[in-house]
Amino acid sequence: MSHRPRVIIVGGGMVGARCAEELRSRSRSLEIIVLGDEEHLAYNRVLLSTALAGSLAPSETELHSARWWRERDIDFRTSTSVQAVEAAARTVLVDGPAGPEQLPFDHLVLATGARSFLPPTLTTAHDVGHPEILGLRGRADCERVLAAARGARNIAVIGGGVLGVEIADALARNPDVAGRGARVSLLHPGDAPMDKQLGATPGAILARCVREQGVDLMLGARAAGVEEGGLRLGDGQFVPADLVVVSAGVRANTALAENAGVDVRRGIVIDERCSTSADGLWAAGDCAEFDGVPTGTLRPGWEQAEVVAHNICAQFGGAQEPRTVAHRREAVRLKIDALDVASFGRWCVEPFDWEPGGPDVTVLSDPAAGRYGKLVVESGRIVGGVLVGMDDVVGAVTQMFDSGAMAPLDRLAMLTGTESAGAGGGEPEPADMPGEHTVCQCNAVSKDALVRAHGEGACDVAAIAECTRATTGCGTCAGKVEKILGWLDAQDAHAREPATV
Amino acid sequence: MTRTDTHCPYCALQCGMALSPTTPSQDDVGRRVPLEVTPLDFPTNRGRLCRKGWSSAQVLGVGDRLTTPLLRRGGKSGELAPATWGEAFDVIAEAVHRASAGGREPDRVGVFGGGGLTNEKAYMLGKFARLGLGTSQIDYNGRWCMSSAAAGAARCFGLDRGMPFPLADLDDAEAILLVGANPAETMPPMVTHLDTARESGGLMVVDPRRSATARLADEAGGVHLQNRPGTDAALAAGLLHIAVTRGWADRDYIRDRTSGFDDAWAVASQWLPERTEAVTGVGVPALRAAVERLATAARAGRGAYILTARGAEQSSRGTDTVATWIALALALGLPGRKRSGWGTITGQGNGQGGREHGQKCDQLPGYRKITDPAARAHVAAVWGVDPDAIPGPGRSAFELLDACGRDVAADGRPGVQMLFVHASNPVVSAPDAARVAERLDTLDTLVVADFVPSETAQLADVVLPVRQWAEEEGTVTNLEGRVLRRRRAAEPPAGTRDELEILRALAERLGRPAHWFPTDPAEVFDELARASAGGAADYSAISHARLDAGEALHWPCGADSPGGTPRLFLGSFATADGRAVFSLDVGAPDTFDTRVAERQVVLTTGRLLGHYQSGAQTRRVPELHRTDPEATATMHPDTATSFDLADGVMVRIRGRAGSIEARVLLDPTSRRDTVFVPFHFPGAGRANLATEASLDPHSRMPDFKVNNVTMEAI
Repeated sequence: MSHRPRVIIVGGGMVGARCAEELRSRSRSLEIIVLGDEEHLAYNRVLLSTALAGSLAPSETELHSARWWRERDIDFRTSTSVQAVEAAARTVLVDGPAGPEQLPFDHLVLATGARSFLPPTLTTAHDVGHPEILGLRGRADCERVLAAARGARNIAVIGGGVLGVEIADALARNPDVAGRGARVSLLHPGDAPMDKQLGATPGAILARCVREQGVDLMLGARAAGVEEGGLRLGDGQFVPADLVVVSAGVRANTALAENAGVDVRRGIVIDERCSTSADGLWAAGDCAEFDGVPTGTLRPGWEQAEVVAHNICAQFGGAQEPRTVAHRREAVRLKIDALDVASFGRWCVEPFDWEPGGPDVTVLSDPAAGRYGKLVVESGRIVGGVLVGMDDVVGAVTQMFDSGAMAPLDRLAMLTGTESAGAGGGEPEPADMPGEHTVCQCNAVSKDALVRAHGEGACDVAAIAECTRATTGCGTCAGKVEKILGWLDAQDAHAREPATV
Repeated sequence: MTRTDTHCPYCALQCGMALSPTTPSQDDVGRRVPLEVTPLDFPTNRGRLCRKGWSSAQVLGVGDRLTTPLLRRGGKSGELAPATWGEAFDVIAEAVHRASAGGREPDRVGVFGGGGLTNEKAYMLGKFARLGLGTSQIDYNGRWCMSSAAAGAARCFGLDRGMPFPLADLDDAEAILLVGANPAETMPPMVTHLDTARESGGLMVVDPRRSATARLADEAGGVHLQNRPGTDAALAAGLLHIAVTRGWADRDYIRDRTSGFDDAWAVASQWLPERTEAVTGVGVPALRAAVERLATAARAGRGAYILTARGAEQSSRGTDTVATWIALALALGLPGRKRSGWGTITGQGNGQGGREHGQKCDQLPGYRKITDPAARAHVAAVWGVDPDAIPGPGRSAFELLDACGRDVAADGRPGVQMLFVHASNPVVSAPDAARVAERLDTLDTLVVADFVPSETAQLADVVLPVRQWAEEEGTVTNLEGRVLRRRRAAEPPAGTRDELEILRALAERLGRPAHWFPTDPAEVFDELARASAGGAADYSAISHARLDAGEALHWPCGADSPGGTPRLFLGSFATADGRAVFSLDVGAPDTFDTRVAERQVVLTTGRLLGHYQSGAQTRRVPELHRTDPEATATMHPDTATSFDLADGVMVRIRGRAGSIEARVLLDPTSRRDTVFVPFHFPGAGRANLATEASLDPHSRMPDFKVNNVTMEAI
């Protein structure tokens, strides 16, 4: 009997699912089993904060239907947890709806993700009258938060990082929450929300915006404990709450790997091929740590999933070279409507740190208008930055950062958007217009041609059109032509005035 | 002759114009009586014309107009010299005999048509190929124009008509998203139809360049989504993602009128706005604004349209890209309803009709599949032949050209030794143009029918001087599927012949019955109408007489729809179950590697206002040539600096296929990773010297818009 190589993926999240897809797209013959401990098939975790705003049902975050997985011959098991990994024997002990089972594998991919961190001060047993305390990591969490939020009068979100701000903003926009007059407060220990990504001025702009969205933002606020009807802060202040959503960071799920004897630091240590310290064991996504840095965001996790799939298949395919991760950086983007916020790379360099040969820092600070932009450029490339309220340039800049493209030579023009406004925008006044300036693009009619036509008696747009074809193409120059005619008429009138000595 | 109402010879807007004889001026000495052009108040142009339209009549009398057949004497290195029509026909008939081994290998002879031919000629060219030559090897330049849009629309709606609604429906729409379209330069009079959207701040343009149209949008409070070339499908998926997550999707419509949403959402759900931004370079605020404007206008019934064009379609992933934009339109509930929809803006004058009546290698008249036995039986009955007499599918345009001069082509089948080219100039317009020119040069016999000595005609062994738009009768089908009459306004120059006459004469020389090839355009149209009856593009209730009576007829116009069909899909779509299909394939999620190789930029190509297609016509009009005399390479000043280039210097742009020479034109609104070269110029300035012929698996469209290149000063 021919042996059909089996790959088991532990974790049915976005990275585990992606790894299964990538394996299947490379190999028809592999047996692929995905073990997810949640009751749902893989879903898009990133959308959960959107779901809190009420415009998307949590069920709509599902990535693929059961049929989709079946059609691709991927055995996706839900509500199935892995009890232990025997790295040397290449088996896993699983517990699922069918009871405990020992499953052998040829390759094992750990995509166990991360879990919400709950500060010890908040993990006291739930007492009657105490607020409900929830994290937001999985779909079930999201459904619980939504259910609790519908009945809550006071909701406290703890942690003003990216996710905390998004959760508070979403709840404040949810018609079932804010629409009922419930209060949403956001408690953050720092001086400004997202202070670890933004710094002072942009943080202050964000703080103002968050407050304008109806969120009661409390800065310098540390929750010291849970009490009946709310939270007690470190400074003694009491915050009423019947629901507390905690967003105080995540911890990689590494216990399985650790127990299997695999190297683990903050995450499961992987090399550039995404291999762990144990042969046949791979890791990808938030549970993994590469080059001393936990993965943390989705795109690097997806890339790791792809690299793992490639390298597993390369071992069966033979000739293919192993692939390595590109170690790509990703911009942090805050998902709220009211203010566009981006932070990326080594943003935390100040202009006054400048010294010859060091990074160039360009800062445009306009807090009154809710705008702030900082670009850190080194060796001609953008290595970091912060953009707040810079709607027109954020796409171009984050793509330059993402792609490693050359930075603009004139950084200030880039930030202010003046380089594109200068060209094409702002038609000069008739008097300032050079004679060869094209007024009607469609028919290539210059100012000179209009002046000549006017001199020959064409005094309105219709006559000009007859004479020069100006305005007869797309027609959008009609206003400009009228303006030039007005200017010419005024000049004529001026010329007719008796000369004064 | 007096005034004649007809349509402009150039783009698919087919502006209404009147032609009147006028007194020759000094410039016209020695030429035929010039015609004066007057714009008409026709629904597409409403009394407007661009400079190409105004000057169109000048092409009739250009100095090097071909008025006698030319034969290359003394082998391939010999010169083209005047010949009689009889000599030319003899040479061609003999060459057909030689190339096809006495008719035993008819596929060794190919035909290459054009989207500028009238419906009558396009139809007859297809019939000539299949019955006159007995070859399957016919395709046309529209393959490089509309084929991805056609394949995408056919996949999603079950039918391809560029705009499934009249152009004038756009007039009061408050939100219009143009994707890879630049009508302000390519078809200026169309802009009048965008006025409401513009004034409402709802004109939105997806274009890597800050084109004239993008500028119009931006200056009126609309949105310009200046994406990296080649990321259109990702952009569409990202917009669809936002539509769904923000609750702007039309759930009732999706349930009642579409299929496949769940699978589409499985793909789009992964196109998070932040990822879309990093891949496309379009900021999240602009993405959101675009979807919001479309959704808001659609919900309020104030008109919302998505129109795609070549910028998004001309790629080796063009069909999937179009399908993804259609998916966005479907998610918002736009197609098949009044006051909203998806459409494609057809480029060539008869790009629509040209793809319906048998010029495509896989189709028979009436937009029928050549592999469908019922379709073959119907057409065979109209033609009075056995269905088996009609050859099967042939090669697509590039594959056909690439098979030229080869004993065995890349597909393992016999190559092509002889080629007829009508209404096309592939030496300039084909991708990988140098390779195509080399292929044409190795043919046993190249026959080119044209009215000027185009770059392709200059390579020919036989050149046949034909007639132009104002010298012939016929019909064309414009971008909204409306059939129009093209009328004769001038006497053709002596020595030229109409292609319908040429095809009959050739068929007779090849021993075919003359009555298979009628030469009266009205009679040809009636036959075309019968051949199309019951097909997707049903013209059977249309006639020259009805059109001459002033009726506005959009196809399908047949037994069930004698009044024509201005708006398609209002009740149901043309798919088997009547539902529109969500089809979303953006490519493997992380194939969009935005990292750029050192010292590389993306070459993208397109049109200028003053020129049309390969420029063979417009380069001969002094006022058009003066404004845009040579190939230019538009780039950001930073890009120029990093390649040691300066404004006005000559640059060599080197791609994998080959290199272009062009003059640097600095434009600070350019993307820094993109250089733009228009494709109208000949010789070393041919943009297509650097475009690659990697083909879309569905439409066989090459990559015209995205090619990685390096640059150096010359």
